[in-house]
Amino acid sequence: MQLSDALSGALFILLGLFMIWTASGFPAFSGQPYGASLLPTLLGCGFIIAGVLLGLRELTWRRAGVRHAMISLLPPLRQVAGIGSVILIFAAILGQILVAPHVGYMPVSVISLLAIFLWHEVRPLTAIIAAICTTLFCWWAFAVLLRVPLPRGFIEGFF
Amino acid sequence: MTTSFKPTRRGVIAGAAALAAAGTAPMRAFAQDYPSRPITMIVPWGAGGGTDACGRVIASLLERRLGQPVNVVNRTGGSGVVGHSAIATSAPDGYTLGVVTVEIAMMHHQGLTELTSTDFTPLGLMNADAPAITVRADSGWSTIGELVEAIKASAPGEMKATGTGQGGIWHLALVGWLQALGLEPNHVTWVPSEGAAPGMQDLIAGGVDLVPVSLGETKAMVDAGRAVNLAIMAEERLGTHPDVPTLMESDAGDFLIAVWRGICGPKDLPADVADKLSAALAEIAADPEYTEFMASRSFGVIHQPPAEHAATMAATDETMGVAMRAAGLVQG
Amino acid sequence: MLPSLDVLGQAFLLVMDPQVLLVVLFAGAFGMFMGAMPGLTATMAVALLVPLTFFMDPIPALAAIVTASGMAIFAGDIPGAMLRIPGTPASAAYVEDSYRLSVAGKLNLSLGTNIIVSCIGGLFGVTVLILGAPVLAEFALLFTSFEYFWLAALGLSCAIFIASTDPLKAAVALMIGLALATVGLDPTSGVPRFTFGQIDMLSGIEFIPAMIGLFALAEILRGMIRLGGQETHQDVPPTSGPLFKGVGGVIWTYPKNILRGSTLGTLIGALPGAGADIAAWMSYAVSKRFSKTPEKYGKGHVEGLVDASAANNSAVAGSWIPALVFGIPGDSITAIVIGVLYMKGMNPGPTVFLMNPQLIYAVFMIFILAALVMVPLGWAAVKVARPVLRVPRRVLLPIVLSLCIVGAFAMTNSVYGIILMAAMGILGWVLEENGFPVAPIILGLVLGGMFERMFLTSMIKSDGSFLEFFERPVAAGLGVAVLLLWAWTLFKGIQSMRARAAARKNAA
Repeated sequence: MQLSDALSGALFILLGLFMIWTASGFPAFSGQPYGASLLPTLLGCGFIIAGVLLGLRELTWRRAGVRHAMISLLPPLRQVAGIGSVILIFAAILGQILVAPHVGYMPVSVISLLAIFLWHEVRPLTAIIAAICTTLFCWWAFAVLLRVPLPRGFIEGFF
Repeated sequence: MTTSFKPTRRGVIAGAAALAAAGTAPMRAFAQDYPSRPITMIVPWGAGGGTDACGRVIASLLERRLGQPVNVVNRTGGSGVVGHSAIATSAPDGYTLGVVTVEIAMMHHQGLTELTSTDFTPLGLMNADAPAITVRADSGWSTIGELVEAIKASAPGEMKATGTGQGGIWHLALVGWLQALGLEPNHVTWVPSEGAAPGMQDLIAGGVDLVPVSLGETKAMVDAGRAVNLAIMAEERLGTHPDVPTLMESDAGDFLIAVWRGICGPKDLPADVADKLSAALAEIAADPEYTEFMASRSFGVIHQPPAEHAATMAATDETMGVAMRAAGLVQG
Repeated sequence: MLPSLDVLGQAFLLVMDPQVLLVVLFAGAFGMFMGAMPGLTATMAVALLVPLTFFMDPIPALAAIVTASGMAIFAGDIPGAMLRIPGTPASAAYVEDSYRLSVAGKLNLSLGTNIIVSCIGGLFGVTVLILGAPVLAEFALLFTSFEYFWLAALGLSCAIFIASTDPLKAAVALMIGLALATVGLDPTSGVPRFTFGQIDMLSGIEFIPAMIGLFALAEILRGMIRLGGQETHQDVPPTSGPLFKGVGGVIWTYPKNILRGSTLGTLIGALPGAGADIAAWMSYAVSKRFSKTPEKYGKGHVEGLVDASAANNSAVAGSWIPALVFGIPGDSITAIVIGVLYMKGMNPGPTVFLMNPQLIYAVFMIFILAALVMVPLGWAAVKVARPVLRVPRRVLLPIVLSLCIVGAFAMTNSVYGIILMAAMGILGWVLEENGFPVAPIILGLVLGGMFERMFLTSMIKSDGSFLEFFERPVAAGLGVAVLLLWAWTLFKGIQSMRARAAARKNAA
């Protein structure tokens, strides 16, 4: 997703205003003019200045006859294959966030990997082997070797 | 199905009761052969720190007694709020335990969380450390009496102290001590630091005048002859540091405070599981392997069974509330 | 304080124990693995070794830690060069250069240089550690919050040199990094900021998941949407042939850079709180500033890589200086090391050189051994990793995605790490599509906390007076350096603007 500098400048101005507004609620140290709000306020001002500069730059470009679309999508993102890839990647991530705590890391990992592989036309046999091997490797390296508490799910009963 | 099902309040309650019964039935069964799978021990502070070291040594000794792996998991951040919340909100089945530190008595006063010590099942207090008032070796103060004189003679805000963040335990130790001396809680300005080690560095570099942190945290600098422990805020002198006097015997303020670390589970842990765990912890507290390890790091070993553990947590909560209100740290 | 031959002999015998050598080998392989996996860091490698060191004698225990941390810092370069995904934060500074080198078919040159220069940097650091530890530790003890504030300011000013094409967008990126660093419970004031009431957010934007998101996930997104079904070749061509070919020439061309990077790395490493990652960033910036060809940086130039590679490995040894002499951790790795030293009865402090000199000199020898063993182990690691480039991208990228997800989870031990990674991944992807560089965000995130904290604590100490920022000698020196740097940059900027205006006038 590409935004024109004017649009991203506007977004940064909004961000700056939000930071200043939120920071105004932070309590100061007793007897100190500076506190938790100092850096966020300064950064907020910085974002506003930068946003204005970005907007002005876009303006001078326009005057010179160069025009950018407000929002444009990368060519691959206009195709089903590209959109599908992005959706599948985030589905895999969301699956680990929302579903894995209930059913376990392994099934979510195998299914999401399989989906991504097949979407990209990896041969089914290769896809199945790669999905299972990757999942087992991650489980072994992280949950077994490094004792990371990955959600165990259905294998809970086996140990 | 032909009969339509309308959920009524009674029906829902009955259903919930049935579910609860179904839920507890297998729980009873497995409490007898508890633990039957690995246990997770949550440490609310980072790997490599004091709480982490305590948690790991207790976990490894617990593992030996329970016959199941006890995995230490660091859940850090937010001055301990993140980790303590993770312990309190875990399933009360005995498979998630945690190291609960003194900060649990402080963070809710600060308005950071609703969580208090009553949200846990205490299983045993394993360690307590009183802070030692420490100054630079070349500061010119060789006794706590001389330091007290200097503090009383100084203008408010002239002297500085550090050792932890704003509203951290050592900050409150300073506030409580100053009040016990009859001074304003901010007579000595608190300079927030990221912990005891950067605080000691700042002391030696000449950035602050005194640091009230635990003896273990000052050990290297004291051994190097760069810093001196003037007094300790404990009831009596410690066996490991017999030459450091207490505040009270030096007549330098009537104030006691300590950090403590205890093992807790979430609230409503089944009684038989809790008993099994607290018995194992009592054994560990007397295990020479544990006491030697703790002595090597200059950590104080004490042991309080669950009832006393709960009482200590409640008492600290009250002390901290008073000190924090005095320091103007209470929010909400 | 030079040791007697007798002590050296004893130390040598301690190190040459077959058990110790075996530990060095295994810990080295383990460190390589940890460093090469995106999301696993040198600190984590060391933290994981701690329970094992409970059961070891002091020398093998410390050997394991020294070797694993050194290897992990180098191994972070491998995925950086192959996939543009830095394995550890210390490799992030020059990932662009090493990746572009690989795309140009010079993977061997890039990684070979990394290995050899890392080895030299490590040797340099340990030499300083042996000869100058007490003196340097005294220097590090001069640093109060005033000095640290100027150091952080100097580090942030490095962004001037790192950023190139679009200064405005680079400045915005730096501010985004600084803004992200303010999220969470502020340790100075005890106030939660920008947490939106979320408990996990109190811990702030953790650095590693953010880095995985900004670099790795953004790279995966870019790569996968471009796959589009047909295009499957690797960006980096598979390479074979001898790894160290041409490396001699690089070292011959840039001996000053190696020396400069190593010196800077050791010094920064010796400062408590600043570690290998900051050392790499600063030496990369210094390298670019003094280079004859600064315009080539970030486009696949080997010079900056030489400086920064030497710096991050020498910083590993440097951080042991305050740890050994005063028990003050130089970084998160030595924080763990201090615990292990106490446990093994080698209490840090000046006495460590008097009580058990053979142990401490054995540790120094392990450092030397670890630096030397890096060459064959690094060679083997690259050999093992090279076939990865033959794997089609559509198979490789989802596998890397899996590693990123579990790596992010592992850093917080909760799904919060994954959420952070995903959010940062989107941010990094969108920003880079729009011409905002990602590197300044990392710099802001690394230094933002220190910068703000040190400013506020200094203000508390000085009761709000700015003069005290220049009252201590080291602080004054650093402060003047920062101000001169800015003055010089402004002067240059105005000069070039005038030159451009004059050129336009002439053209018109």
